[in-house]
Amino acid sequence: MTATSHVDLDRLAAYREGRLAAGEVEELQEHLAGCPDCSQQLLDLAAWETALETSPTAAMEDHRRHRLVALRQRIGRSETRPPLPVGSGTVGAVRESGLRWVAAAAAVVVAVGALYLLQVLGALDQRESELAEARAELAELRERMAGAAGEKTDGVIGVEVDVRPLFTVRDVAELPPATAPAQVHRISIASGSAVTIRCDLTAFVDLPELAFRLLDSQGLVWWEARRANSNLHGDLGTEFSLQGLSSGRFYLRIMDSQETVLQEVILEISPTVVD
Amino acid sequence: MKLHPFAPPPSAKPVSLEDLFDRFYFAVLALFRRRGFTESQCEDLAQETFLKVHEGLAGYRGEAPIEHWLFRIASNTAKASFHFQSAARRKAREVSLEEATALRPADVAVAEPEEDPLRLLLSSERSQRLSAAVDRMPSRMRCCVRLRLEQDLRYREIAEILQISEQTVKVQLMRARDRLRQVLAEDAGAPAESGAGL
Repeated sequence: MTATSHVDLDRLAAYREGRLAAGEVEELQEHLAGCPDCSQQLLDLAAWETALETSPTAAMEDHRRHRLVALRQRIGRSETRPPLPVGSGTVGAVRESGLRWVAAAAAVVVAVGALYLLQVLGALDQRESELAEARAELAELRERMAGAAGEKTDGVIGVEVDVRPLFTVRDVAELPPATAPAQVHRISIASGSAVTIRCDLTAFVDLPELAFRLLDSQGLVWWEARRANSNLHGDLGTEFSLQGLSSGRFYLRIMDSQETVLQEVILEISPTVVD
Repeated sequence: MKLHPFAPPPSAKPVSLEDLFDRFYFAVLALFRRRGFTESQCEDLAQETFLKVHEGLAGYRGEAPIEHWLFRIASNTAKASFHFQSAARRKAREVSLEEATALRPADVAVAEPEEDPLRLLLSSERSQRLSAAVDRMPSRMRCCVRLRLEQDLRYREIAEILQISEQTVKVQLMRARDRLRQVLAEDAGAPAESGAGL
């Protein structure tokens, strides 16, 4: 073993764990004594292991969460967003600039929610009369859903799942009972795949501002944005494209300017197997 | 039983960036801190590391344990960044901020490398005799001497590398110094006042 042929990481780790024979230990130590690169790597490894064995405090975990959000934002900025497969340019749909982690290829699109929304999504350049029809249908559907859930709901959210070809969508389009005050939709998508969420916001047209927030089950905010209503004026909805969500449950909340939750979508991310 | 940091992940399910971030963020930070970067540099470098992890994750085929892969990315990020540090920065010893500010009586007493009389002696005409004396030392003592003189490491770091106690390092270096003194004394015909560098 010479100073030019460095010790690999496995061997350094084995040495630290006392898994080398006595002769090997001496040989390795002689090498380390003459090889600054390897001794530095061993010291790095010691620092690394010590950190792994140390439980982070709550403050450290909090710090880590913030750094993860910062990382996500940095990744989001560095990646571009390809066109959406269906519904692109839907009557004035607002393009969200927050998270742009979008699937690269052909997509499976599942529209969850109301029939009206499908019609609306297909109508890329609808005339005003058709728009009015859709609105009427929306109102009717809202009534029906509110009735079914036994409580008032303030709108309907359609969810499209835009999945990379390697992944398969399973268990989609379940429509659970609404929970107060938010209306809940539950979907399952493959971990790591992209999801496009299309929200109908016509119910909130009177509000001066809307706030959007994506949280995980620990309450960590993955993304948030505020939109003045002037940006939403005349629109049927807004879109979000999220990619890289890990397994678990995520909550997309649509709130008013006081952060009262108007609607909530639960995203159940599960690691499905590729067919 | 202690879980080895490079042990295979507990399950075969795909690893996400978030999982890796949760698991290794502080280990990555610790690596940069040890390399002597400032706290804000450490955070920047950690972000850079995980950005590379994100970029490489799709291509990660699991040939090496993910921990190996991540450690290497962090280690290479540290090296690449260190390369761009100023000459003065590069000459600085690689210690953590905590280490730099901590009170360490044992190390404070140690002379700076450029004032090290033993170092000067080693480069003198007697260096050959001294080198030969170092070569004749038992393996452990010889390793301590080389790590101290050639790599300019602290007692604590030498102890870490040789998997012995810091006290043992001190004892070994003290004995080594006595031996070398003796060699110098034989040379000069009188006791020599050197070897303090150990």
